[in-house]
Amino acid sequence: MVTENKESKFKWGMAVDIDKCTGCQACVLACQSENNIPINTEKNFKNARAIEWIRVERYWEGEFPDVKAKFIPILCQHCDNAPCEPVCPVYATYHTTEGLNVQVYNRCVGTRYCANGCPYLVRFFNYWEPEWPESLKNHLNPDVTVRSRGIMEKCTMCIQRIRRTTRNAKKNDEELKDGDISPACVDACPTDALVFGNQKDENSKVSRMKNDKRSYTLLDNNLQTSPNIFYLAKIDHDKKESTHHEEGKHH
Amino acid sequence: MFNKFIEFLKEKDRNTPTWLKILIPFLAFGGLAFHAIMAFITAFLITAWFGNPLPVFGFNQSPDQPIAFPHTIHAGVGKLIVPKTGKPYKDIYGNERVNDSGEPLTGLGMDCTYCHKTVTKEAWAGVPPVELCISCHKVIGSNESQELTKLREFGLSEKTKGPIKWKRVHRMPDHVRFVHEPHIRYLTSNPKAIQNKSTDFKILDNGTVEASQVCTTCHGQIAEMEKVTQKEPLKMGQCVACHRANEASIGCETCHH
Ligand code: HEC
Ligand code: HEC
Ligand code: HEC
Ligand code: HEC
Ligand code: HEC
Repeated sequence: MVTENKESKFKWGMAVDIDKCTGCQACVLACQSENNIPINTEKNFKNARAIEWIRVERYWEGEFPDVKAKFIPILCQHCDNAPCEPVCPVYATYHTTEGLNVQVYNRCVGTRYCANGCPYLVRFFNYWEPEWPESLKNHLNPDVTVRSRGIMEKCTMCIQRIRRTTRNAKKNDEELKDGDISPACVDACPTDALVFGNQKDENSKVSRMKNDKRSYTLLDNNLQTSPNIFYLAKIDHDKKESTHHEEGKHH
Repeated sequence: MFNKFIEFLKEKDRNTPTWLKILIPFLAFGGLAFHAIMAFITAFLITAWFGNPLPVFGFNQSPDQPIAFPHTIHAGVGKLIVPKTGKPYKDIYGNERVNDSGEPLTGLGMDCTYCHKTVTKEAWAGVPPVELCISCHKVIGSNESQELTKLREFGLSEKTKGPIKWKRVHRMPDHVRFVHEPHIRYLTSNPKAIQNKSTDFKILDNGTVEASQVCTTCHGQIAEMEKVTQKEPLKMGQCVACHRANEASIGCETCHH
């Protein structure tokens, strides 16, 4: 659990503008290939064993023919007050100084307590040894560990990209600018619904979106998890008051 | 003779059964052998835990390469002689390393970054393509050398042309991410942190050192190795100790993700 870390210049966060999300699943696919996630077959979905570090949830509103669809991309909320962290008996999941909740795969012994503790269902257990077709084996990302059987895994906000970009900035003696770092899902989003950045920078895009009047966090009021993913409510033009409405109650 | 021996055993101590008397020496030696084997296994495990495993059963961390590439000749400096005898070095076939006039070869003192080009820029150091070797070895070196014949087959002959399949010597486990670039950058400008300094170590006027001088910290004296061996254990303890001492990040996510 982390309240405020004064050491680091960074506190990473993400903002998701639901009004812009078209539910195209590009983020899901990008994440899958960036992070060496094995291919989810139909069987895996049926057994509820699919691994998707980011998934797009779909909600219908209204009765046919007057229906509206709404898409909410759900990924690890990187909670400041993460329910998954205190339950781990071996400290395999912990908070970095930059505000990320990460999983140390080689430390993990597979108790699955963390996944049971997570209200957002964004931790995934490897029930099998991951497998890829022969043609895809050379496509694995060398910067990301391949998780073996018996290990919990989750969204890392593409820590390999964060580290690489900060390292390269240091190498070239440059300052990191807002927007330099982007996780795979943010990169792939065709409508820019996902935005990643440093919350400690007042002027970063994510800070501004976080302070937007449409902004809310998932399940925060009930569970006090204080997530670092901020959702911007959908704007409904048919309704008069288009600000903060029912959003938070969908779960 | 054997019967007499049995008689003797029977007489000696009537309370103990004879079969046990015969078995006892075997048990004793078996026990000794068992303890010796256990001691060996324990020693193996202990060394493997704290450093590199004992060089037995092919655990010697220096696989046979497709071409016996000597770092001594290329990266070493000075005459390649054995200090005790003053005679030239021998290559792996036992031939003395002499040049055309019979004198001991001198090391070329090549910069490590001439061959391991990406070490100052990227995560990996890389091994040079065969074309780089050929740029010199098209003409340099005698035709009789078996190793150079193999090299020219890889590089020049149309039929057998292709990359050389070098075997990895240093290899982090799959769950560790290592990056060369920040280490070389840091060590070249902070020579104090360099360990196992080589004999020709020198600090430049502006307080930095050349990239070639820092590799000894983790790889030992490569320039003096006929065949590359992993000299440093490169376990987590070593990495983290240096990170602590030099105020680099020690969060688990630095090396494990
Ligand atoms: C700067 C030029 C240069 C480059 C580049 C170079 N070498 Fe050499 N190499 C030499 C010289 C000079 C010798 C000593 C030759 C002699 O007189 O026997 C040598 C010797 C050797 C020998 C020992 C030959 C023997 O008789 O035992 C081998 C093997 C060898 N080189 C392989 C390579 C390989 C493989 C590469 C590419 C990674 C390479 N060299 C790149 C200059 C070079
Ligand atoms: C002429 C080119 C050349 C030069 C100069 C050279 N190397 Fe190498 N190096 C190679 C080749 C080829 C290999 C692969 C063969 C081997 O492992 O023996 C290699 C392998 C290595 C390896 C082992 C890689 C592994 O698989 O883990 C290390 C470490 C290394 N070199 C360090 C150095 C250092 C340090 C220097 C400078 C003192 C240096 N090299 C200079 C060509 C060179
Ligand atoms: C801080 C320790 C450290 C220093 C300093 C260091 N290395 Fe390495 N090197 C390693 C480790 C660890 C590996 C294994 C990397 C892996 O398996 O991912 C390695 C691997 C290598 C390899 C083979 C694999 C590759 O990355 O291509 C070469 C070649 C190499 N080093 C050369 C060098 C040279 C040349 C220098 C000096 C300029 C140097 N190293 C300095 C730790 C170091
Ligand atoms: C000689 C000291 C030393 C040793 C030994 C050493 N490191 Fe480092 N390492 C450093 C320093 C200093 C930095 C920070 C460089 C900088 O950014 O200025 C660093 C940075 C790193 C980084 C980059 C962190 C980032 O910002 O992305 C990684 C990864 C890393 N080390 C892994 C390792 C591993 C794995 C080992 C063990 C094989 C190791 N190091 C051994 C000194 C060392
Ligand atoms: C500076 C780099 C570095 C940092 C920081 C680091 N490790 Fe490691 N870790 C390593 C290396 C290198 C190895 C592989 C050692 C070996 O070859 O046996 C390793 C191995 C391990 C292993 C053993 C895995 C196995 O299968 O043997 C565990 C567990 C582990 N690390 C946990 C952690 C935890 C927990 C943290 C954070 C507190 C951490 N590490 C921080 C470099 C690091």
